[in-house]
Amino acid sequence: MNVKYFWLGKVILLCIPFSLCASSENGNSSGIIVKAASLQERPQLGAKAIAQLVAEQKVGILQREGGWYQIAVDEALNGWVKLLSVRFEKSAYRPGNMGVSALWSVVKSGHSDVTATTGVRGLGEEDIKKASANIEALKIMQGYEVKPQQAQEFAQSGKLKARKLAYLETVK
Amino acid sequence: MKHLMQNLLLLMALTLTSSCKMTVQNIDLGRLVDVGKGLTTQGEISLEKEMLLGDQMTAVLLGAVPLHPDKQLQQYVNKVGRWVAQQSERSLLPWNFAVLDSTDLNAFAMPSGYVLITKGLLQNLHSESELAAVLAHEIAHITQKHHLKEIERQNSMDLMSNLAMVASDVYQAKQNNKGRSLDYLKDQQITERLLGATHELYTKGLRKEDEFEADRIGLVLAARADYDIYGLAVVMQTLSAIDPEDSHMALLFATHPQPSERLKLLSPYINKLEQQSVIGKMAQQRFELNTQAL
Repeated sequence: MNVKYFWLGKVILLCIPFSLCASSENGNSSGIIVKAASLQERPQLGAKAIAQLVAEQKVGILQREGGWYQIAVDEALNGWVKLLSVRFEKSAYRPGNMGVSALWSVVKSGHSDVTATTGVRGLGEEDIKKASANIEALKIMQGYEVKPQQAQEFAQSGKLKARKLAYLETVK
Repeated sequence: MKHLMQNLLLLMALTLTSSCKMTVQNIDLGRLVDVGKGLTTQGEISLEKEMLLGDQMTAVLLGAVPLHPDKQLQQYVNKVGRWVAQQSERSLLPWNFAVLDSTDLNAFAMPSGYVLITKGLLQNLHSESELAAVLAHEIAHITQKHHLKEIERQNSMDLMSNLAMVASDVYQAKQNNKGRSLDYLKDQQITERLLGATHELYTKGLRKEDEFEADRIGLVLAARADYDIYGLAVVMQTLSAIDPEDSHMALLFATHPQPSERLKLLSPYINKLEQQSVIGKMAQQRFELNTQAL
């Protein structure tokens, strides 16, 4: 699948409701600028700045590339900003509405009842405190083990190359 | 009477195992018991003891919530996890990862190389680099032996009496070498105290400084595995945006510092890696492809 069109399709889909009503109700990833930052043409240091953003300014988050978010300032203006210059707007939790399916939430219906999903199981303090050992499950879990060779092949197929990197000195 | 029986069993186990050098599944039982004369050898819990603890604690957590039924999903998480673990100083541990079938958001690390992550947390990640970041943080807890050190600090359980009894059962277990035999766990009832220690450790959480250390170490582990350096930052941004009162977050927030605080402390380290031009991959498409079962 051509990556460029994949994202283009998503952006177009997102822009439609965004231009009609810029809110986070339908699960758009809404962001807030954390501190004054420049909106850049491309996700690169030194790229042309096309606008200045102010703290508390609301933006729509479209996608990420490395240490940059592509954001929509309004229907007409979008660009790239450094990742840590943005925080996500707080929203009521709906399963998966923050994650990979968030980009799809525009296409699906806006309503996603927490209790409607099958097999809703909490994992709270009480669940742990009354738990006793499940040996059968432990055996099944051990059966999922992936050996180093498999992991190496998996890395290769994702073009991941191990690098040597020292732990960082503690910053005071 | 019960006490007498326990002491007799303990005495028998100790005599049996110390009288001759015997090994079962490469566990030197004599040494295991010798180690028990003090609580630890040279201030460190032995690997054998760590594995026994890890097996038992993981079994308890798996008693709280079931495993996710999708095998492909489990395999995928194991591949990512093992690849990251390979970059650590304890790459030789038998690393095991699994997805829990819960909509709550959380992840757990148990001694000797067990890591659990909930479906709920997975659903809120966007890319393989974010998954790698979460797993790297848990792997760091294990490489730094945070839980073991906490147990030692608490010193609340009579480790050696438990382990001596387990050691005698392991000896009696059959010699069918299918990896790490768990027959001893079936035959051996976990005493209340070990059960209680597990309950407490995983509902109270570790010290703040251990969580911050796992973030810093995990950051480097994920980068060594060639994942992009912003994975953990994005996870923290995501967690910060969820209503903290939501019940899906309850245990996570009870056992960890606030994500915004974690992000603030992590930022200078991310900047350092930026300065070193460490780039890395997001692997978003492969993540989307492999998490369709969620």
